[in-house]
Amino acid sequence: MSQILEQIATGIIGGDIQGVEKLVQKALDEGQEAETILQNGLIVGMAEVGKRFKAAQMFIPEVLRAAKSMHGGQELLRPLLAGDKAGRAGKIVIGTVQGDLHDIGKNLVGMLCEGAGFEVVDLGFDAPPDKFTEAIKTHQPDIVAMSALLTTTMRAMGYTLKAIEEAGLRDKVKVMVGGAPVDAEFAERIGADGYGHNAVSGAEVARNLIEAG
Amino acid sequence: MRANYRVNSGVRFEVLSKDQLQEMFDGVLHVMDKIGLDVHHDRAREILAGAGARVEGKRVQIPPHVVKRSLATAPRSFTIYARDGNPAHDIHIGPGRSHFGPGPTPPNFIDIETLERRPYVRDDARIVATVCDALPNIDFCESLGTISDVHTDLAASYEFATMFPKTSKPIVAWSYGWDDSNDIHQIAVAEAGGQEAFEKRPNYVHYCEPLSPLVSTFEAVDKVIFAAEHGVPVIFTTCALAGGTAPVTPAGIIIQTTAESFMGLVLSQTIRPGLPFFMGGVLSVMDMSAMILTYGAPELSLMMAGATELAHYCGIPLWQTGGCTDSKCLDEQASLEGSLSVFFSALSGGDLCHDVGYTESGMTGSILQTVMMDEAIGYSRRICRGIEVNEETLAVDVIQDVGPDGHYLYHDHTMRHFKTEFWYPNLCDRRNFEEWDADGQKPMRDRVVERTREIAATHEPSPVRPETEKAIAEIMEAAEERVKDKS
Amino acid sequence: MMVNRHNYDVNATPTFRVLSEDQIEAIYYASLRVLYETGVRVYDSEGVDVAQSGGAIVEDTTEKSSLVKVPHYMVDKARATVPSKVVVIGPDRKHRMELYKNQIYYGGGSDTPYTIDPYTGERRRSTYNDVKNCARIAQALPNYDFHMSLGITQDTAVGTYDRWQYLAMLEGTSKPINITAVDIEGVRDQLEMAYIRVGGKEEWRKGPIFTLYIEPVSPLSHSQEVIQKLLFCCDNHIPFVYTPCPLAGATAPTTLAGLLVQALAESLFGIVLSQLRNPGAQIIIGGLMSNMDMLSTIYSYGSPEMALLSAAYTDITKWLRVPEYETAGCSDAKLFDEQAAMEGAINIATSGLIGGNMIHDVGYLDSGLTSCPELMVASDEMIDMVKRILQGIPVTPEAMALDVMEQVGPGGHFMEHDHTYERFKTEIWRPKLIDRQNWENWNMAGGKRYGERVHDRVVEILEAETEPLLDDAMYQELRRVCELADARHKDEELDVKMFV
Repeated sequence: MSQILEQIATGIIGGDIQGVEKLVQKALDEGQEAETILQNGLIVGMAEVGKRFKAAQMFIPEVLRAAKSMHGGQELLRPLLAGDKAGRAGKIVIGTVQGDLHDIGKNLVGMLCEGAGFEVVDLGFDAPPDKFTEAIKTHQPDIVAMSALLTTTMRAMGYTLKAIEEAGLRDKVKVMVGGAPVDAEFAERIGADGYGHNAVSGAEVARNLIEAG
Repeated sequence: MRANYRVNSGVRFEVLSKDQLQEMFDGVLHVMDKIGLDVHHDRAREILAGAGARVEGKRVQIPPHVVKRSLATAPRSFTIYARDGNPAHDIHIGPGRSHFGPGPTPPNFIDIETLERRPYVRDDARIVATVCDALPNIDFCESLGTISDVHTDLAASYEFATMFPKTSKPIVAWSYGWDDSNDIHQIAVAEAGGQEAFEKRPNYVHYCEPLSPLVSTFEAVDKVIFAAEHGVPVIFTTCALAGGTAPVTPAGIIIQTTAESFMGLVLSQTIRPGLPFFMGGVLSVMDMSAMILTYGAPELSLMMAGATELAHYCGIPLWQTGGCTDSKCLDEQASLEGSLSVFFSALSGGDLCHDVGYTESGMTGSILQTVMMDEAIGYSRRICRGIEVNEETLAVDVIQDVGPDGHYLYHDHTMRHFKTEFWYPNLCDRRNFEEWDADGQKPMRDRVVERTREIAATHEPSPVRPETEKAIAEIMEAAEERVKDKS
Repeated sequence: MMVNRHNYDVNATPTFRVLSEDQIEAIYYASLRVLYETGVRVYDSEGVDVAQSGGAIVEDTTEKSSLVKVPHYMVDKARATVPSKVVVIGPDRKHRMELYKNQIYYGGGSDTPYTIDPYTGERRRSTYNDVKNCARIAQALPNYDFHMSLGITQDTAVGTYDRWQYLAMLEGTSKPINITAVDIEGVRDQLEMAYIRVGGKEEWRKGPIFTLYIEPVSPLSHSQEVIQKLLFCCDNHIPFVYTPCPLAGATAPTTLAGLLVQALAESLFGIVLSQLRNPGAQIIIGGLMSNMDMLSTIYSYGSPEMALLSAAYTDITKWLRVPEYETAGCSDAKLFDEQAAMEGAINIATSGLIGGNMIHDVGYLDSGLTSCPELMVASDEMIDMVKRILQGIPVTPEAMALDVMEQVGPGGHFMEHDHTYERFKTEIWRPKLIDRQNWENWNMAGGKRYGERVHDRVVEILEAETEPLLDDAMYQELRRVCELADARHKDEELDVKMFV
C-alpha cells in the first residue's frame, strides 16, 4: 500500500476530519484512482476503527469522529466513482417515530451509518407515518430505519409500516427498527426486515440488509 | 472574575463534629491516665517510665502531656516508597488520600484454580503479591494468609521473602517477633542499599497487634521496639469487638482502641521521635448469634469512619479496614458488604485501608475478593473525586452551542472530557442484554475468576536487584539454620 | 454536677455533601443564564402562553413549538411560592412520605419493558401479574416507602396500559405510588381511580395517594404531552415529579457540572411554569442523571457518575428548598449478581448519605430495561444497613463508657456487663439474609450463595397469603375505568399482538 493511503487510514482512525480531506485531495492530485483511495484508504481505516471499538480500545466519540472523517473523504471521491451508487453503501431514511421525542439513539445510528458509507436522510423525531412515506417517494432509499424509546410509541412503528404498505412502497424498501424496548421478536411481529439491538449493530444490520439484496 | 469562591475538592464526609472529637480525645487521655494499660514487656515499661509514665506492676498510666508530646512528634504526612523507584507505586500519606490493600494471616485461602477453600501455602504469597502488583486500585500488599507449608516460626519470613520480589508496591509486613522481623528487615535493606538508604526511603511498613481491652502483649511491643530502632514505619492496631472485648457503643470502642494504639505511639515516639506511625484498628461488632467478629457489619464502616476522624483530629494517619466480608464464597453478599466498607473507607479518607480480600469473617483470604473489590475501590474513588466546577466544566457556551433538541456527541467539549470525567469499569458489564447473552450470560463472579487467573498467569512485576535475590537466599538459609532444632 | 453543654456542635448523623455552597451558586447562576440566553423549546401553545404572560420572551415560533427565554426575575418569583415540602400518603393512610430537606424515602422505578421471572430467573416481557407481584413485594419490604411499577403491563392494551398498571399496583400495595401516564387522558383516568380508592376528591386533597412522573426531554425540550400533564397537575392538586434524564456526553455536556447546569435549567422551567399556573403547585424536581458509557453506548444506571450527580443535584435542591427525586438501588448488570450488589450498595449509600428525598429506581437492572424482584429484596437489606450507619456515633458519657472500661479493666471482657446487655439489641444491627455463620455451619446448611437466599425470600413473599387490599366492589369499579378507556381507544391498537 502506498504511503498516502496509509496516512488516510491513520487519519480516519484518529478522527482527523480536515486532515483526511486534504490527504484524499492530495492522493487524487498524485493520480491515485478514486476507487483505490476508497478501498485501500478510507475503508481500511474504518475497518480498523470497527475492530478497535469492539476490542474496547476506542470509544464512541472517537468512532463518530472517524465516521465523520470517512464521510468527508467519501464525499470528495463520489463524483469520480463509477456505478449507480457512486461508492455508496446505500441510502437510508431514518427517524424517531410519531409521539416520541427521544432521538439520541437514532442520531447515533445515523452517524454510524454515514461512517459505514450510507447516505443518510434524517427525518428527526416525532415523525408521523406520512413523513416516512413522503421521504421514500422523494429520496428512494434502500432502507427505512425507525426508532422508539417507549412501548406506547412502538405502536407508531406498526402504523408507519402499514402506511408504507398502503402507499404501495413496501417492496421498494427494507425496514429496520430499533430502540431500547424493541427486540427481535417485536420486529418480526410487525413485519420489519431487520432489528438492531444497539447503535453499532444498527449500522451492521443496515449493511447486511443491502448485501442480502 | 469571582471572589470569595470556596470549592470542595472531592466530596465532604464527616461523622463527628470538632466538639465531639475533642470530647472523645479527652476520653482517650482519661483512659490512658486514669485506667492505664497492661504492658507485658519489661524493657517497654522502663522506656515508658523514662518518658514520664507511671508504672505499677504491669500497669502503665500515661499522663496527657506525655501523649500530646508523642502526637506532636509523629508525622501526619510522609511517603512509603516503592522498592524499585517507580513513583506510581509510592504511597503518599497525607490529608484527603486513602489507600487500599489486603490483610494479614487468615489460615485458609481460596485456591484460584480449584476455587476450593484450603490451608494457605507459600505459593499463595507469590500469587497475592503478583495480582496486587497489577491491580490499579490496590496500593500496598499483604499476604492474605499464614503460610502453612514451612517451619511455623518462619511463616512470616517466607511470606515476605516470597512477596517482596513479586511486587514493587510497599508491603505491610507481619511477623511473630524479633527474629523474623529482622529477616524481613534485612531483605528490605538489601534492596534499598543499606540501612541509611532505607531510612531515607522506607519501602515497607511493620504491623503490630496488641490485645483488647487495653493490653500490650510482649510480641506486639517487642515489634514496635524493633521497628523504632530500625526506622521502620509502624502500625499498632487492635482488633476489638463491640460487646465482646470493647464497649458495645461506637464512641466507647473508638476511645478504647485509640488508647490501645496510643501506647504504641508513645513507645515508638519515645525511642525515635518522628517515626511514621499509624493508629489502628479493626473495629466491629460481635454477632450475638454466630459469636464472631463480623467483617461485613455496617457498624464496621461507621466505627472505622469515626476512628479515622479521631486519628486525623490528633494529627496521625489511620490503619483503616474495608473490602472484607462474612460471606463464605464469592457472592453478592461478599460484594455488597465489601463495597459498602470500601466506599465508607474511601469517603472518610482512612490512610491505609486493609483487609481487602478477607472473607468468612477473617478466616479465609481470597485474592478473588481483592480483585472484585479493586473495582469497588475504583468506583468509590470516582465518587470521592467529586465534581469540578469552573467555567470550562459549567459549559454554558457549549449548552448554548448545542441548544434545545441538539446533541453533544460530536462536540469538541465531549472529546476533551469524556475520558477523564467518566470512570470505565474492568469487571462491571455494561453491554446490553443481547451481547451479554451471546457471551454466555456470565455473572460478575465468573469475570472476577477469569481476570484473577489472567493476571496471575501473565503479570510480570519489576524484579528485585540480583544482589537482593542472593541476599534473600542467604537470609532464608540462615533463618532455617536458626530454627532447625525447634519443633 | 454535670452541667449542660453549650457552644457545642453535634453531628447527630454523618454529614455528606458534594458541592460547596459557592459551587451550588455557580451552577445555579449558570442555569439562569441558560434559561435566559439559550432558552428552552416548548411544544405546547398553552404552555408558551402561560410563560409569555408571566414575562418570558418567545422567539422562533414554528408550527409546533417556540423558543422560550426566561428572565431571572421569573425564577425568583417562582421560588417564592414553590413548596419546600410535599406530602404523599398511601391509600391506607398509614404509609406516608414527608418530602423535604434531608428526609429519605426509597422506592422502585417505573415502566421497564422486561422483568426477571421470579421463579425461572429468565428475562421476559413484563405483564399485569408481574406488576402486581412487584407491588406485593414492595408492600412486604419495610424499607420500601413508595412504589413505582417496576414493569409495564404488556399483556393489556398498549395505549391504555397505564390504567391497568395502576390497578395492578393498587392490588399489590397500599404505599404511595409514583404513576406514569400515556397522556393527559391517562392522568385523568388514574385520578378517577385514585378518588375511588381513597374515597373521593376531598379525601385526596387531605393527602394525595400518588404523584405523577413527568419527563421533559434533554436538552432543554418540553413536549406538548409533558406541558399538558404539568398544567393538569397544577389545576388538580396532583403533586408531580418533573424529571429530565440528561445523559452526559450525549444529551448533556460531558462535564458533570455542565450536566447539572442544563438539568437545573430544565427543572427551573418546570418550577416557573407550575408556579405561574398555580402558585403553590407541588413539584418535585430531580431525576435520573448519568453518563453514556462510551464503550457500550448505554445509559448507565450503575455508574459512579450517576450516584455522584444525583447526590450533587440533591445538594442543589436542598439549597433551593425544593423536594428532590433521587436515584439508587439500580445497576447495569443483567441479573442480580455481584455487580448489581456492588453498584446498588454504593448508590444506595450515596443517596442515603446525601438525604435525597424520593429515591427511586430500586430494583432496576440492565440500564433501566429490566426489573428484578431479587434486587428489590437485596436492596431492602442494603438500605437497612445504610440506615444503621446513618444513626451516626452519639458522643455522650453513656456512649463513651469510660466508667465501663474502668470496671472491666485491661484484659477483661464486656460480654456480661450491663452496659452491653442493655444495648446490644439496639446497637448491633441484625441481618436478614446476610449470613454470618462459620464455614462448617454454612456448608452444612447447603452452602447457598446470597443470591439463592434472596431468591428463596422472593418466592416466600409471593406465596404468602395476604389479605386483599381492594374489596371486590372497589376492584370492579376500578377495573371499569380501565375497560372504558380500552373501549375508547380500541381502534388505536395494532392488528398484531405486540408483546405477549
